[in-house]
Amino acid sequence: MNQVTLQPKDIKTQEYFINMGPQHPAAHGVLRLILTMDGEVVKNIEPDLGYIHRSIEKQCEYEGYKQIIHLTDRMDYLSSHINNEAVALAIEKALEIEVPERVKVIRTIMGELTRIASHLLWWGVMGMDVGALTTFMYAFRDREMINDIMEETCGARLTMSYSTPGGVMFDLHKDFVKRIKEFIPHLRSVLPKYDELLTGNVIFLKRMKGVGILSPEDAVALGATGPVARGSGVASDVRKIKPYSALDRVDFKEILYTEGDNLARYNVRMKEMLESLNIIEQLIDNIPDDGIQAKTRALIKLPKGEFLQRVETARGDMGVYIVSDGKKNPYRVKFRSPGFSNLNTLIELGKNNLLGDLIAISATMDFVIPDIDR
Amino acid sequence: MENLINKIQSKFPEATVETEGVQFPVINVSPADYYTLMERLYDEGFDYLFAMTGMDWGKELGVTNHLEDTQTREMIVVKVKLEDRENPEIESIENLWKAAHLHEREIFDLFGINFKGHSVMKRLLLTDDWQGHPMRKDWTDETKMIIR
Repeated sequence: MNQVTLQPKDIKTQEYFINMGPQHPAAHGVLRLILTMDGEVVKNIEPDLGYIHRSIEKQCEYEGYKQIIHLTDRMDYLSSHINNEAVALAIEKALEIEVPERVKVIRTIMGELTRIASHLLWWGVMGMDVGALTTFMYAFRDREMINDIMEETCGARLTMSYSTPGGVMFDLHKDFVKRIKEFIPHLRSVLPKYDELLTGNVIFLKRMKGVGILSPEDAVALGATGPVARGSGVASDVRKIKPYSALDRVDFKEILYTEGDNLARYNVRMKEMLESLNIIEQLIDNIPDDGIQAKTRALIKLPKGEFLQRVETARGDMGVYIVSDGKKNPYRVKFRSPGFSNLNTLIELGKNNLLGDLIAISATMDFVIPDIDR
Repeated sequence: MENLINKIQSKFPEATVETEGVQFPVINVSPADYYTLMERLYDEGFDYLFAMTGMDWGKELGVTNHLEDTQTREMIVVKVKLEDRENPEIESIENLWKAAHLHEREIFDLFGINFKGHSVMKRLLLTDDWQGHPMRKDWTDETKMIIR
């Protein structure tokens, strides 16, 4: 019998496709990625979006300005308060309305609470994505406390629609300050433990450290913002660039890590929660008392023109671009959603990684699919 | 910024620049000059493509681009209008800003503007067999899903 020795160069591989999603536990929603694979290495990623596309931008063209706010809840539902705020701010900018100081402070506190709740949920599901189930339970327990605070004041736990043009819907609940003051020390005490639960685990670290490295140049070129960009050392926090509401009077750090890998993005979000607590703490004792609503007309008409308002959601740079022709509904509304550009980043970043690493990378991107599809 | 606008006006005499009554300077450019202008702005340091917005101005279709310089944090807006509603075509800027990749696909899908030189010019949100481009103003919503 002839003996054949197989040399590695003789082994040919063939590219094939894997369909990831639309129902995939790690996609956090209905995202379909068509992966071109060579062995276990991802060669190309082709996103197939639109499973939850509701054409919010088109709907806005047929709604009044007050109604648009309610639609923005349904984009990035984990940052719903911040989305509402963006539209409210854009309308106020166009109408040159100065809102009461109380409204500014309330919006900022609510915004930071939303950010903490969003980051907590991300921490929980990201642990699940890489195989640690406990995180989900812990995160949801604490997120529930924020949801309760939200429910008392806004009447809703997720889709708040709390900001209105010129103010907020209701005044704060009488227990609001007390509840927040209970919550801050609680989260401060548990966060380091939570962090250690994952970062103290060698398996977790191996999946995070040095995996999915995004260079700062690529982060800017691909349009990445939020914790994704800040994990690569790109200062991109809209709260610092163009402070809105009460963010100009608080002192906080923009968390930057320069490694650009999964662990850097993880660390940015963990530290950001503490910074958000700092912001709330600086504001909670001195909530001004000058009303919750500026005078606005019952039917809002924006002057002719174009108005752009940017805010920092939990996922990054979110922009509302309103083109008005002076009528009661906008001529065109564009929502620049951070998730959309961060998905663009994943397409580039995921290439030439192992399939398992792609899951870990997308976990640190923190996608909310309705935010991508709109 | 003024310096840059003067430079652009001397280089692109046909482009008009609005600076009064707008949030950011707006450059209106013809489709023929669009790519060279964008290339120029890229070289001038506008490294962050904030968003590309498809537009239907009634008569023309077009694109509004918001660019930002991440060093100075200055923003600039570039508008380009396309007269041809049947086959609107324009150069892709994907090779300047990779961020344009998905934005251009979305505009192709919803407005039907073809970006020449784009790597994957396919529908993004709607299904491949969808007829028409729903974000256009003359689109009729037969199912009354959005326009009631």
